[in-house]
Amino acid sequence: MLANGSALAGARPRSAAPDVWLWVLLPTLAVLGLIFGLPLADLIAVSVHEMTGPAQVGDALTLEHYRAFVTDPFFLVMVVRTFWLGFLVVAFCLAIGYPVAYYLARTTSRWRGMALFLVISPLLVSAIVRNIGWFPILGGSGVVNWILMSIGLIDEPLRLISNFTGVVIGLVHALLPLMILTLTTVIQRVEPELEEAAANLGAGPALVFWRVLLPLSLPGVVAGSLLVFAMAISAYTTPAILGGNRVLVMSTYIAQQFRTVLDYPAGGTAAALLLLFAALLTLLALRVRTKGGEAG
Amino acid sequence: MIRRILGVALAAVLLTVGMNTANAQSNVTLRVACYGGSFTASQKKYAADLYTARTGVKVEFIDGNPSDHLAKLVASRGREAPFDLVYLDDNVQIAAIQAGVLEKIRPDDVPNMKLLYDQAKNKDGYGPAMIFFSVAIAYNVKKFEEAGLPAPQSWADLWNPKLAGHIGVPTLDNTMGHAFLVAAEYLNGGNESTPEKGIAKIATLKAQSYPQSSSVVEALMTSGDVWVIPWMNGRTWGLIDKGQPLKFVIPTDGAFAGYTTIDVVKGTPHEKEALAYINYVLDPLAQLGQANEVPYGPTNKVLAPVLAAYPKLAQKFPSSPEDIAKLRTIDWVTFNKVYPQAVSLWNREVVSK
Repeated sequence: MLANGSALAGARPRSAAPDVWLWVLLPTLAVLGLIFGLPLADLIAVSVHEMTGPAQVGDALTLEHYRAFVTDPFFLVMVVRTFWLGFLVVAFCLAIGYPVAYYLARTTSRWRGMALFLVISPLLVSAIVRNIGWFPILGGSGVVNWILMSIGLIDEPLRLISNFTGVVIGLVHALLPLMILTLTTVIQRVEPELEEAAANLGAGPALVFWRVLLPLSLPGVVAGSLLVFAMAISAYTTPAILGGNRVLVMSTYIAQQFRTVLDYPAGGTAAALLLLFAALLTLLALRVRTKGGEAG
Repeated sequence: MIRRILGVALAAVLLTVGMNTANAQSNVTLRVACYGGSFTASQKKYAADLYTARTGVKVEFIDGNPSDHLAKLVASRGREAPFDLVYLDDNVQIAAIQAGVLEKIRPDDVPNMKLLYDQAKNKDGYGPAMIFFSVAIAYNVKKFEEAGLPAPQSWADLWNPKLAGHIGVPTLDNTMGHAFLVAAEYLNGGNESTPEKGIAKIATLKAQSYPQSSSVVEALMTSGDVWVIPWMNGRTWGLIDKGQPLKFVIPTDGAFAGYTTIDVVKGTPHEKEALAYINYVLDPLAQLGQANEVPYGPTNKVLAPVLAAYPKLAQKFPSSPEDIAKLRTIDWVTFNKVYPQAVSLWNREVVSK
């Protein structure tokens, strides 16, 4: 999606007149700057000040919070846990989402609208209800454990909530629609004739997917993955509820520092670092995509 | 029964108000930071509406989380105060006092203060507690019977190895978590100044999870994943009244006192009106109405004999002078001082295990 847009922009001859779209964008940029940019700048400013008491920030500048964060293995483990969570959620969303997106992109069935509605339905439920709704399904005496025990696959109920597994399940459920919608849009643009041509030339389904479909839908894969990754590492409600507060990730730590310890500099530091890591990873992913695009 | 009496009383009072001060007028609007939900609704019904009817002063509630209220007060120091009055949790009030955002109250300005239990009065002259609640043990009677476990009687009973994987421990973010940490500190030979002792003790519990909110506790208790959890009276009774097979037990070594305070915000231009509002909140009628709507105990001791006549209601909260005397109180100043270290230890020793 993004790649096509930029390719078009590049191909268009540059006009001498000032870009109208920039002016159209200006109000949006101003609003975003005001409601996102300013608070973020404030957050980062807080992180380089001392904490002088609960909910209080001193005037003196210090980098102590950053030193304490990066030199403590506890926090490094937390960062790794956060990114591992993001990675797993992206991997599951891709594995589950790609076939669904392919079906939605290619089907002409009259049930397509219904299927699309089912896909986006998790987005229509509030985060808290969605998470608590998993309890009767994944709990010790929940539906999943009941089925697995009834058919004799397990003797003891599996632990599927109040741990890392629960958080992954909850986030995959919540973020799958974003992945599917992004992929569907891109796969729709890949002409089915290309797949047919490859098949006519003797490629099996796996080879068609690997050599034709995947490279052509790569922009969607990257865009969907980035979107899901960013949402997964910054999600708060699901790690807090389905993790049972036993899974400490960056977002839950930040919330804890801001809302209960009232240590704004410590929370600001973690938030600034999360932002930095996420930005770096996004740049990295975009580079990979650009290179992939050039190779193709 | 008590509901009908309250209704009649409220109607009667409002009627007399209508007759005597029909033209009470004021262009002041008090901005009151509160918690939201049924708590704000009952405060509005039994205190604010009556106050407005009698004085003409309007009351606007601004609902939110107590620590968010504190954050706003601190952020606006030296500028116009964002509220005139604020309801806070016990430990947050201490932090607000230390941050210098609250005004002291002279008891003469709030006549109903004389009627409060001593435990409800702030030693340093800040806002009083307007309700008491208790933190004790909520457990699922059915699950305990099925597992052949005796009912818990003391805090130490929660360390029964048979409860491993079935006990919920409130996270250190809320009052229940704070109280349970203190319980564990004392069990391990420490006190409020030694969070490491309490956390070491809690780390030996194999908790199912560390819930933060009542809605999650409700879901975990209903699904049977959690059999027992230290929690507060009001929310637990809410579940019992819904028909859940739960019991709320006061441990032999004492339930912990929780309280909600009401304070005048420093720098308010309407101090006189704010003090008058507090008097309405502490009024016996408002206190009884509150207790009946949301089961928290009144801090006005005049109500003790009335509550004694309604044991079905009174059992839900600390309601007699004896109940209130038995509640364990927490040294919040000491607790707050070491709280950041406690959370850090909690993250390392409890959550990450």
